Amino acid sequence: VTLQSLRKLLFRVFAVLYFVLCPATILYSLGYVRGPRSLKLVQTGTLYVSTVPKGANVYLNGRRYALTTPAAIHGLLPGEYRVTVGRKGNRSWSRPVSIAAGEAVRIVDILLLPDPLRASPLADGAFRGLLGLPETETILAWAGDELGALGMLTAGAATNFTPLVDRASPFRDADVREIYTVPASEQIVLRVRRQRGNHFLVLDASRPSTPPRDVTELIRGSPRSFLWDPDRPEQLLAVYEDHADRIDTEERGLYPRFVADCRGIGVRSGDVYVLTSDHRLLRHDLKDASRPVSLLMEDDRAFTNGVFDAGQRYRVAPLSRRRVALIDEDGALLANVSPFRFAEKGVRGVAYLESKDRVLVWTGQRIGLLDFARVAAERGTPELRASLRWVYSGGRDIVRCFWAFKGAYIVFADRNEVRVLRTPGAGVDSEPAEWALNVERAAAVHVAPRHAMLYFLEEGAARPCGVALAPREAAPVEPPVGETGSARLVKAGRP
Amino acid sequence: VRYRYSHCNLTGGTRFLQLLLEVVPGALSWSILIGLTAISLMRPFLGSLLIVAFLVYWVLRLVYMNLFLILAFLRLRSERATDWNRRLEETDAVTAGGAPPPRAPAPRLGFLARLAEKGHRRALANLARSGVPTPRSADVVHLVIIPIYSEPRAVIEAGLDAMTVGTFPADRIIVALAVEERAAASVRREAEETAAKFRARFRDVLLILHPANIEGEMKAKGANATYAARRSAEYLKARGVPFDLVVVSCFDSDTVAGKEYFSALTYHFLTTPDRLRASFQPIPVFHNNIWEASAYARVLDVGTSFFQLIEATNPEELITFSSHSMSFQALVEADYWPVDTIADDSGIFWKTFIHYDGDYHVVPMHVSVSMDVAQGYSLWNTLLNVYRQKRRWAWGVENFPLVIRAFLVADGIPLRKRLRYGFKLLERAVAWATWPLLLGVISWLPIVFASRSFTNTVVYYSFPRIKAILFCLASMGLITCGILSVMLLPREPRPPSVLQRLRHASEWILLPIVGVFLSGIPALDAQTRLMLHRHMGFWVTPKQR
Repeated sequence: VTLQSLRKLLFRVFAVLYFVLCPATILYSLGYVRGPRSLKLVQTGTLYVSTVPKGANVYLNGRRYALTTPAAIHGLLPGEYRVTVGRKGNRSWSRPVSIAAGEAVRIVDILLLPDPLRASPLADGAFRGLLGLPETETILAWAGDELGALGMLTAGAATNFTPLVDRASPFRDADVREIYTVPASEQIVLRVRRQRGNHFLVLDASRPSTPPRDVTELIRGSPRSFLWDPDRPEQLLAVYEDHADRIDTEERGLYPRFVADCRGIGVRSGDVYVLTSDHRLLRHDLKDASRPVSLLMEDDRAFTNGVFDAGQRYRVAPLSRRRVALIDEDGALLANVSPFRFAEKGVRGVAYLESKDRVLVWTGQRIGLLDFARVAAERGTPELRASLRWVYSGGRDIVRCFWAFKGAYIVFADRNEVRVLRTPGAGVDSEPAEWALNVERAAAVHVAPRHAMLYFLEEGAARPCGVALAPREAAPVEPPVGETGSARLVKAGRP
Repeated sequence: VRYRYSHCNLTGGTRFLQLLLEVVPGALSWSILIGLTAISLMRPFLGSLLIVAFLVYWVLRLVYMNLFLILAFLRLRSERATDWNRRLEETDAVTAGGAPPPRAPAPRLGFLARLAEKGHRRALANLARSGVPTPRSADVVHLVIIPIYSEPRAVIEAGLDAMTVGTFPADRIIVALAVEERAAASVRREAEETAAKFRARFRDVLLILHPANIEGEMKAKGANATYAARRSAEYLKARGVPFDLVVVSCFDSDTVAGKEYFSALTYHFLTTPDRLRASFQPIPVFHNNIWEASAYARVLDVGTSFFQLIEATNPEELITFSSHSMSFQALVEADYWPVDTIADDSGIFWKTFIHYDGDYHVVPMHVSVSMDVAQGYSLWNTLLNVYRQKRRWAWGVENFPLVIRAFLVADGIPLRKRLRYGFKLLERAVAWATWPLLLGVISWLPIVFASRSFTNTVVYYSFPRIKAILFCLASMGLITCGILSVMLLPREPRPPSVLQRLRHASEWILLPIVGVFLSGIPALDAQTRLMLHRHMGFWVTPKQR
């Protein structure tokens, strides 16, 4: 046999091999396998499961597979299965799934809460309140009404509780009446009462040793609230019934009626968002109100004439540079995106998740998701529309709601319970919210955004505590394709 | 066939056809790349299935090529200890009318050497059976043409030195130093000195100055070699040396022929019954500066050697590459190398193939010639030089329109042969430009840019698994290459150390990246230039010592 004739022979062999192997590989990639009891080909489905934390065992109909999460289980015959994931030291999770031929069911980022959920006390003794500064890792707590009893909690530090003012402060004994915060800022503004008079103090909560700045002389009357931009905290807006004063706390300047004739006001990224008395929605610079920009591009009339209630004041929550959500005093939810009005009453708060362009909305009983999408318009460019979908409705008195794990989960405080809800995907039914633990007061609950640390006052003892809902390193991500593999059934058992 | 192998000065329909055919390889490569990218992004489901079909093909082809690489390597090894002069004596005995000499009692020959010996016996039997008059080995004269443009003297002299110490008598070798008139004065002077130095050690050393600006020529190696061959023809004619006894070798200036090269070449020339209708192709290895060269350049050039080894197992479709040899008579009859193309090495094969109506072939020789790995004075310069060199090699695609044009009119060439060679030319060019990018970039797109609907299909999860298995299988090919490349390393001036061998073998891990940037993209670059009718000039790879 010469090399040449061997080459010709092998060429034919390989050509035949290709025409056999190529269709076989393609059929396999489509999920076709030999039937369990016959030679007939059947198309199977795939189940992809990932958990937080990873490394959980996967059970299908009570039978354990060799892979641990994240795991892709291939070759599942179409039908109903009960999938259970369990990990030592964590609560197990279970639900029925329907596997269809050629399709993959993805259940990503299942949060397996630690079992038991052991909280660490952050300070000794009973406390009366706890407040997390929104979208920060800073937690305030107070054991009494006086300013000297208000301090910052530090998880894991030797001295967990640090008073915000030192013993020498003249305001140490003043009663704290109001604490004003804005998202993503560690500055707080306090209204305290001392010697029968109101004082307004500005503090940096992350630096407790810094003496508070008394800005009382710059405040006219009794503002309803204070607003500022986290990047320019020295510029305060004191918000009144129908106007706002601007106060420069560094230069100690007062700009009366900086914003006039308004029914709602919000601040974001150096801009002020104003809902005027005649229902125009404007944006202007925090230091220059002379050149406002209208935020109503399309269909102004529909927005201004049909959706506002006369005489109402609005909380203005700027979501992005062009998008604003508004909540009136009855809890009606509006936004400057068609169809403008989304809930008639009862909305207690909203939280925007920029990475997913999604707003978390809650009332006392329900939790909803406000999503934005561009839809084809009859003419011109696609129109931006929003839709509110209620994803949970079993609440009794939901007080606080938080995004957790980059929006994969919602943590909420309902009366004295903290529950965790998996954010349902589009077109997917919601799962029941899982009970996490009981707390002393729903209002005294906070979830730090970065690591999903839950802070609360312990039920009964009212001690400030912190607990990690998942290990710090575990953050939900999209399915890591490289980690998928076939699963092998190893043994029967229960999770 | 009377055919002018040129893309210049065409008119009318011929010109239109040439321009149209120049578009084909590039357009096909770009269509595959853009089409598969678009499908992978817009229809990832379909894209994944197409990529699976391609990957299965690729892996099978890789296994197939690896098998022949191993066989060819063993064949090369089998001739390592061959005494070619003894074989020439035996060949002379057969051609003198005698029977093949009795089988030598060689009890100590290894398995591979026994195989080689068996091949030799078969070649002698074929020769005797053919009845074709065969000259005596002592009558064969070698003409070696070395085109010079900017190469330093040391580079040229290393090759000449190797020829003088070879097993073939140097007094039957005529060297033609083909120097460009437009070369620097120092280069011309050095060439004169080299000629003077070596004249006494060969039958003769001709110094031929190639005038600049000859009409119809481009600034290319082929034009220089052709001019030198024409002057050499006059020289041989004047001295009454018959052209059919002259074997001409066109060497790159950095070519260092092995000691046995000219003996082996003479043997193959004599034992090929239709020796005047054949070229003789050694295995090019890039060992001259292998330890000074960069790892990525080394991997690519060893890959080129392997490719030639694999090709050597298929003489029916073998095409000349780089340094090669052929009958001088065939060269003259085919009107020498192309003077207005870059790829003169493969161009001369196609010219003679067309000239003789397809009755021309390449005989693989299992001996090696060594050349330089492309280098530069800095990392960036080396990268640039390697890129340019590979692009120049890939510019061999310029042969496609020229050959297809000839095939359309060459009724004398069997249709089957035309189809086979035409397909091979196109398939090789397209595979060269597209495979590295398909494997290194596009095959990842369906997963990286997967839409939500695609992630809900079984294919989204099975595709990466299948791909991983196929890549894993393919990596076996890399391991084979790593092992063989170590076995191919030069043992002179001293055998490589264990560390050098390990390093050399592990460099193959660079291949996926090097393949994309220094093989696939240069090839695509060359095809795109041809597609846009922007013909390249000849770029001389800098040589250093």
